[in-house]
Amino acid sequence: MFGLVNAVLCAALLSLAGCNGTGPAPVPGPNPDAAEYSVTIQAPPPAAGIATGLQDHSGQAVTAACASCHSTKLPDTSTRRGEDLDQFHHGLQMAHGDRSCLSCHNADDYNSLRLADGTSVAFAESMQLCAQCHGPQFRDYKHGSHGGMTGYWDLTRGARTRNHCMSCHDPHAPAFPTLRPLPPPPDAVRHEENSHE
Amino acid sequence: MPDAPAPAPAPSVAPSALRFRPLGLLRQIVSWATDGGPLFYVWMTVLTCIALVGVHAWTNQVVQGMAVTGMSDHVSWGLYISHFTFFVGVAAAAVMMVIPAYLYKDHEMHDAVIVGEMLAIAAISVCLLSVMVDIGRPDRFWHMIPGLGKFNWPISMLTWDVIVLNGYLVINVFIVGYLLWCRWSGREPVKKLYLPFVFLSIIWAVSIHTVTAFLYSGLGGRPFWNTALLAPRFLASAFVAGPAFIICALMVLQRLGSYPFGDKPISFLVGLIRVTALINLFMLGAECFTVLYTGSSHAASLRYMMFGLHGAHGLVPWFWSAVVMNVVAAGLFLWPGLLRHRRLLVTACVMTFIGIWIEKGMGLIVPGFIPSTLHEVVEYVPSLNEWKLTAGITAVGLIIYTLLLKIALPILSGWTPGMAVGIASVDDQHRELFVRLNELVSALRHGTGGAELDTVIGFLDDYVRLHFTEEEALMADAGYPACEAHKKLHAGFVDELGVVKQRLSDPGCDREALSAELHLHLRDWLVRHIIKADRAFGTFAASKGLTVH
Amino acid sequence: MSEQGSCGSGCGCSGDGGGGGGLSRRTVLKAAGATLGAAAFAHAVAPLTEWAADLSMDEFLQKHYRELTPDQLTQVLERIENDTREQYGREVNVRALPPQEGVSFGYALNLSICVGCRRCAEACHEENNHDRDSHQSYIRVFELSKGSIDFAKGDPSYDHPVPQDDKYYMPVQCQQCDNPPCVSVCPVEATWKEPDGIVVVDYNWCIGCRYCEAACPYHARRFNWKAPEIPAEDINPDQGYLSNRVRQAGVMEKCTFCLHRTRDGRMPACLEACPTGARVFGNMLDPDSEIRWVLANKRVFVLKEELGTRPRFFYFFDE
Repeated sequence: MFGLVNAVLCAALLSLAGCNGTGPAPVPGPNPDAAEYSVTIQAPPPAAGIATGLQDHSGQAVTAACASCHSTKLPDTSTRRGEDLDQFHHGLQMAHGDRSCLSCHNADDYNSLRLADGTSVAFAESMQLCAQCHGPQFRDYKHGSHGGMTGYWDLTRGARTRNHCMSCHDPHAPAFPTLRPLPPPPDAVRHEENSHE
Repeated sequence: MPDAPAPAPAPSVAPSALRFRPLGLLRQIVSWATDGGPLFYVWMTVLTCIALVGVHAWTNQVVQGMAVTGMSDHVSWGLYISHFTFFVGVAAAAVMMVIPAYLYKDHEMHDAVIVGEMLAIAAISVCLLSVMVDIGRPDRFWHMIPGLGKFNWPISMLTWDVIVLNGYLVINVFIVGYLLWCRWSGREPVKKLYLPFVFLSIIWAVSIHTVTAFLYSGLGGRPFWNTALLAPRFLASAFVAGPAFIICALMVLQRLGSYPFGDKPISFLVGLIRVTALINLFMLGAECFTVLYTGSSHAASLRYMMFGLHGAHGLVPWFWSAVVMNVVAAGLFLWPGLLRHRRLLVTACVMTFIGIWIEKGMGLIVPGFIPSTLHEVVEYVPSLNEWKLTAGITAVGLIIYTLLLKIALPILSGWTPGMAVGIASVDDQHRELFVRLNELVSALRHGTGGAELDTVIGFLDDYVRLHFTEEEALMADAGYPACEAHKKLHAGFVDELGVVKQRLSDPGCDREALSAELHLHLRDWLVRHIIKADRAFGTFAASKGLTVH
Repeated sequence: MSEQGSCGSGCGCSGDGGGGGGLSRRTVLKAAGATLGAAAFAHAVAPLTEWAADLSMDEFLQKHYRELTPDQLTQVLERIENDTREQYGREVNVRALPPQEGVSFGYALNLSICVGCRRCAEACHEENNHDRDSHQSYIRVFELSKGSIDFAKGDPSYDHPVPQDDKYYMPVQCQQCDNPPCVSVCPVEATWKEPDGIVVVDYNWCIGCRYCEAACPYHARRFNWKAPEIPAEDINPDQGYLSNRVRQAGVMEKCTFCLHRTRDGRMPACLEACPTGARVFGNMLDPDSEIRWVLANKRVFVLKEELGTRPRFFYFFDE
């Protein structure tokens, strides 16, 4: 009831205020037909290679292309854990459900990846691979509600840059990393109950 | 203690003034307001010093920012708004004496009403100052002035409050000013001119406190305030604290001999507090039950205040001391013997005054913010600067109240130029009559006994006879046609005085009651007699060219 | 008792006041007292003159933002730029971007992917030229226990690695309500809702009564308890009249969804700072916008819906 009265009073007041001018008038909004700026997805880190642990004369790490080994060696389809990898892939932490290496890596062509149906995809298209299992996340990503971005909400006025899945998720251990938060506001008070927990 | 009043020096106003003279009134007001005994000067000096400390604190706050207060984004209103809320109540309560005096025509309350309405004026001044010091940009005060700035009426409750508070101030200044001016200038107040405002002031008094309660109860985000019981609670507690203050003021005035009030206003107010104090406690209890029994998170503020929350206990001592003071005071007020024990009465009044100050301030405004709307518990302790400012504002209020009383009481109790008959000797004698009558009332009130009292009453009696004889002789000389009727009036007064003397000789005489009676009946008789009968003679004499002394 | 001379004797107190018989001792004493009092008063208010000197007449007499003509607005913006240069030693650009037709802003936050890192609060602090000393920000992040949405059990002061397994994180800022209690209560219309949905404050009209701060159910408003202190190099020079220009002491301020950015088509600073993309911002009148997709496809909720404030800041969880 009061809300109604309030609304009526507000309306009356606004109409009064209208006579006095209401500041800078609104300007025309975005034109739906206008040309749009692009949305750039940050390129995933270049894959297709592995660190050998060696350095060249200028101090750069030396990587070996996947095919250098995998073209001759047969893959062990049972490898599912990082610890089981004893050559080259030392220390690789595998924490991605119960996927095996070959769930994603293409045993026929290690320079590409492999979808569940066997289709090969380039490393640059890896998002398709993620999307096979993480449909909801991919859907959310497509609609801008998953994954960081910068730039313009109004694409008729400027471009936007978006994160790639791999900007935040390591494909072998995709859980988002734990972060140290920035300091709390100085006037925030820790509740006693919580501090006892 | 009895200093019998010294015989008064002649007033400065030309006694033959039949017309009202504004300049004379102004001079008289200045002199009434600034003259007094040593106690008056000490009192005013102390208040002025406190007020100056307050002014300095305010300056400091304006220059350095509100950071010098104890407030924060969590508790964004503190001592100032607490003080404001409390004094709105004090101002509203003044009206409680208007009701019996004007609605039920209780003559004995009339003069005491002016004491109450003057309290309203002083209390509203405190309120307006408290709000002024709370705003962060006092230089932009003009933004609130309708026409000049943008006044968000009727949407913002704060604009309603601005209207009702200033309106209440104007109404009370008008009523008090008009009645005093009539008394001063010897006119009968025109009922049509002031009675509508008297009734308006009754409604208006309720409105100032209701609107102030709506300031808080209208905020849905603050469950502690968002209760329909807030406005009734405000009114109930106002009608405890306000009368308590007026009782103390009346007693101080009686004691100082400033004005011989009867006891009726005091007993009326005590009777009022008996009821309101209980209603107030009842409503507090009802509020506590509803909130605590349901046990929702809305109870957090109350739990914080009563028992502490998350290790924060800042308001617990405030709350319980207020409860104890209010309960004990309510008990004292219920005791029928309280009126006979003045010291206890003052104690009860002071206790309940402080108790309600806490209940409505630190116990109502502050816990509304604790925990915050996002349930953070940030405590509030008023800073020294806030205490200084609050004390300063209160001192200004007391200065205003003192000066108003200093001006009003002489007008109410003494001779005024409005009573001038135009014959110098008669006017001088009239003045002297008032002085002696007041001396008698004062002597009675202070329990002056035996020979001394006989002297005072003999003194009055002699003077009355002397004056009447001389006045009647003048009338006879002038061939005044109403002379005989006038003589009868005089005889009536002498008889009444005789009755008083007789009653006094009775050892079991209730002197308090007698003094009140004397004060009311004899003095009022005198005022009316002079204004009507004597001035009629004065006019007659003037028409005959007989302005002799 | 001491009042004997004044009132006990009825009218007799008038003696020396205006007797006309030359200056009595009492009149002289009264005059001396009055002089002393006036001198003490003048001394007490002396610091005010300095404060008033800093206040220019133009600033004092400035009209309400919505009543300024375009010329006056230009002058005001120029004056503010000059004042900032003088007081903070920084060249800034203050704009008064108007709202756009057909644009109504909305904001949503995905609680399933917010990790509570407070990057948004920090970005707000820097973007909006907040006082560095108090580390003010329009955003507070609460750590809540999974299974409860009770702020009473929340903690805004957590300082351990996030996210904790049994917790989730809820950033709270101005909800830009469509029925804003803060706007209703303002006695001078210093705060209002713009056509694009943003509740703004005219920092030059606000009187600092803090009624809006009491009225806000979301702890979204902040008061400038003193003038903000910011080193020149930290000042963000891209400023808006209604948003992030450096505020004065004694006025209210609040989140404006970074009006100076968003009315330019850009994302708010808190959104850009979010590492997980928990924040979704856009034009609610555009059916193809991300915010509209969220509103249509996620089960969103608003804080304290029962208060009828109608926020345009929405929260949701994935699945």
